[in-house]
Amino acid sequence: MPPSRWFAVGSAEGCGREAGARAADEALVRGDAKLLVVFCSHAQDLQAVVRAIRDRSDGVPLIGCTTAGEIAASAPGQPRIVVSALGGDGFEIETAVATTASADLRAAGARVARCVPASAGRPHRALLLLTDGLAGDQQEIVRGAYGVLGAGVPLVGGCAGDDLRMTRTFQLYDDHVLTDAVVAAGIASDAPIGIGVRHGWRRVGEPMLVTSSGGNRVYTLNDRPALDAYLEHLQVAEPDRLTEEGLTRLALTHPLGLSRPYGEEQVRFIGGADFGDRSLSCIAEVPQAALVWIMEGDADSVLDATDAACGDSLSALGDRPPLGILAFDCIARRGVLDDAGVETEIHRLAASADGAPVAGFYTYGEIARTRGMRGFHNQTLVVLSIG
Amino acid sequence: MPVSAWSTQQLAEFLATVSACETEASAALAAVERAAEALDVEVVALVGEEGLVASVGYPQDAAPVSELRSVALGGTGCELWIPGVGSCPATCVPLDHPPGATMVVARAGSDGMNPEEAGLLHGMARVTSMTMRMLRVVDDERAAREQLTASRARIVATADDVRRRIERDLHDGIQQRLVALALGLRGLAEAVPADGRELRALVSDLQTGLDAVIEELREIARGVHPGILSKGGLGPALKALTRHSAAPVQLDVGALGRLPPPVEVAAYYAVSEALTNAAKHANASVVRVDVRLDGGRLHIAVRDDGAGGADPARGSGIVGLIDRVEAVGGTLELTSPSGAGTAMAVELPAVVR
Repeated sequence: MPPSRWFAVGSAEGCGREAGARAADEALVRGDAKLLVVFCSHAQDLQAVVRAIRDRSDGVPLIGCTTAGEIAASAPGQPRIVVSALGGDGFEIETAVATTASADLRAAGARVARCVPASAGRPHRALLLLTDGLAGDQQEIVRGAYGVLGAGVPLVGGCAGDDLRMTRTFQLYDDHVLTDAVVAAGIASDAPIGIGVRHGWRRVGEPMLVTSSGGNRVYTLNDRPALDAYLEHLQVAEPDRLTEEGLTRLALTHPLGLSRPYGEEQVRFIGGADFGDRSLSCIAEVPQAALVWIMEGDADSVLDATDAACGDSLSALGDRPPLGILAFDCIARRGVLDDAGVETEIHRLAASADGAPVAGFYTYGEIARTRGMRGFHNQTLVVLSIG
Repeated sequence: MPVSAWSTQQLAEFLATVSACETEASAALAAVERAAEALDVEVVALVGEEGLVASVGYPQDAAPVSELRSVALGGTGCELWIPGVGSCPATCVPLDHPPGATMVVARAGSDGMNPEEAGLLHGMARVTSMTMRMLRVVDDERAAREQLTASRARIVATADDVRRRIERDLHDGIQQRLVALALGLRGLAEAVPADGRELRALVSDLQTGLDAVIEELREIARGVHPGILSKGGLGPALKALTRHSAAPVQLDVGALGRLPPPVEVAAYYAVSEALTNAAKHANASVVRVDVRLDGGRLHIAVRDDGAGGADPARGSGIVGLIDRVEAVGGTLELTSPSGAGTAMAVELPAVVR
């Protein structure tokens, strides 16, 4: 008899212990769960939520994070606690955590990567990462994990959110509520694991040269202060009167794009600006000497990307139907989709899953490394299909 | 974007990252990582004559060094087995530096590099090679400089040891014997009969001459090495030094405790040289000396109101002093505008490297 594997999702509206317990009960459809993945708002009493779920799950390893919105196939778009459970003897799963990650993001990535089981009998492996996107350049986490695992293990996941306050996000690990941490689950399975990555943004106008940058901060574009060059390119009227809030709204729908040899451009979300030195702050590295485009999208292009990401992810499973889908969807894509668009996107995710459960969250950055070494994305949808 | 523009941009990004590295090892790691990211390839390895310089794409500590060496020798057209990915076509580009090194690149799937990508890879290999060579030169120069500093410190320390020994020999040997002779002469003077006036005068002259010789010898011994520095430390030694200064001195010494001997000696000679110059060349009416310990460093400031115009190039005293100060990792700055006095600022580490 082949080994069994199962995936289930529980979601519950409400707050604290009671909602956490309901979501856990719904997800724990069998007694041999190997991993719980929890997504909820930073406004929850996180310690109470974690305690309730741990009480109901009898010590099943738990990872999770706060979000900028949770995704579940039923009643899309409503705030809730979402608990996903993976179980069965077809999975071997270990978890890991790295705290004070911002001190050395590469080392944090390397530390958690060591949890991927070296299971000879289960050839399909992946590392699921939930990180603090406010802690620095997340590609460094990818580099650290890649340095330990090499090309044979895909990386997938997302950066925790705080409902767009952009101040502090939390990561959950067993009984602990952490910040500035990386939590991870190394998954080995006897069936394929598929990953799809798409964003659906397109270039606007001519490219600009990054003439001065350092890490995530862009100081000048075409030798002009980056903020001024960005606003000029977008023909913003009265740029001197732009507020931080106004820039946030503009940046949500107009990220920067870096070219890649294959596939779509790599998108860089503009998280803010220094109105003193007129520099732009991105949620990932923008290398000096790069050519960048301002990108734009609309509901159609973003929803097309949803279909494409699901298709790419599911095609990796062959003819096998998915046990379930985890989606890591950038919060900035919601800037293009209105409420109806968000609902449409979640329905499309559910339709792709063909009845299998769907869970996920709106992120501050997405992780997906399947080929090459680049693995951190912005304003992108990453779909993980579990076969 | 045209592919050539794409590869130019990728090369510019690669150059900006790799050339900012500070060591050969970090440049090698940055090169393989950034090449893998730019070309969307699974494996990039720098394989040298003596083994693997850097690689990405394999599980940690599991890069197949002999397979990579064999592919590096076999050149483009070989295949590499990547765990979890399978057999991948490899492309190889030789590097000028490190000697005999090759950059090996492998991408999943059956496609190798297209001509534009191969061109970019050659450009990246060239940038890597030039950066690593430059860093090697810088490293060699840094090592040579450190060796020179260490050697200078050893020479100064050896010279100080010799001076200390000479001072001890003078003090314990000749000086003690001269003092014993002086005591003998005093006994002889007391034994001269009352009518031996000429003999008493002769002995008295001998006593005066001998006392002068003993004092002169003490001066020489102090110049060779101040014994009080070894016994009492820098503070008491500076107080003794200023007592013997020809120019009046205002001395302010903070709490110092005992410092490493090379630091105490360098500090002592710095003040000594400044006081000598103030009296001998600058005709100063007052010299102010401030010595304090702050932030793990000894700060010495000597300022006089003399003629100024001191030029280190004209005399070996200051030059020798600079050598001595730098030998223990310190710095010396001299400001001496003509007619406006001389200021010397010395900073010494309180711990010797």
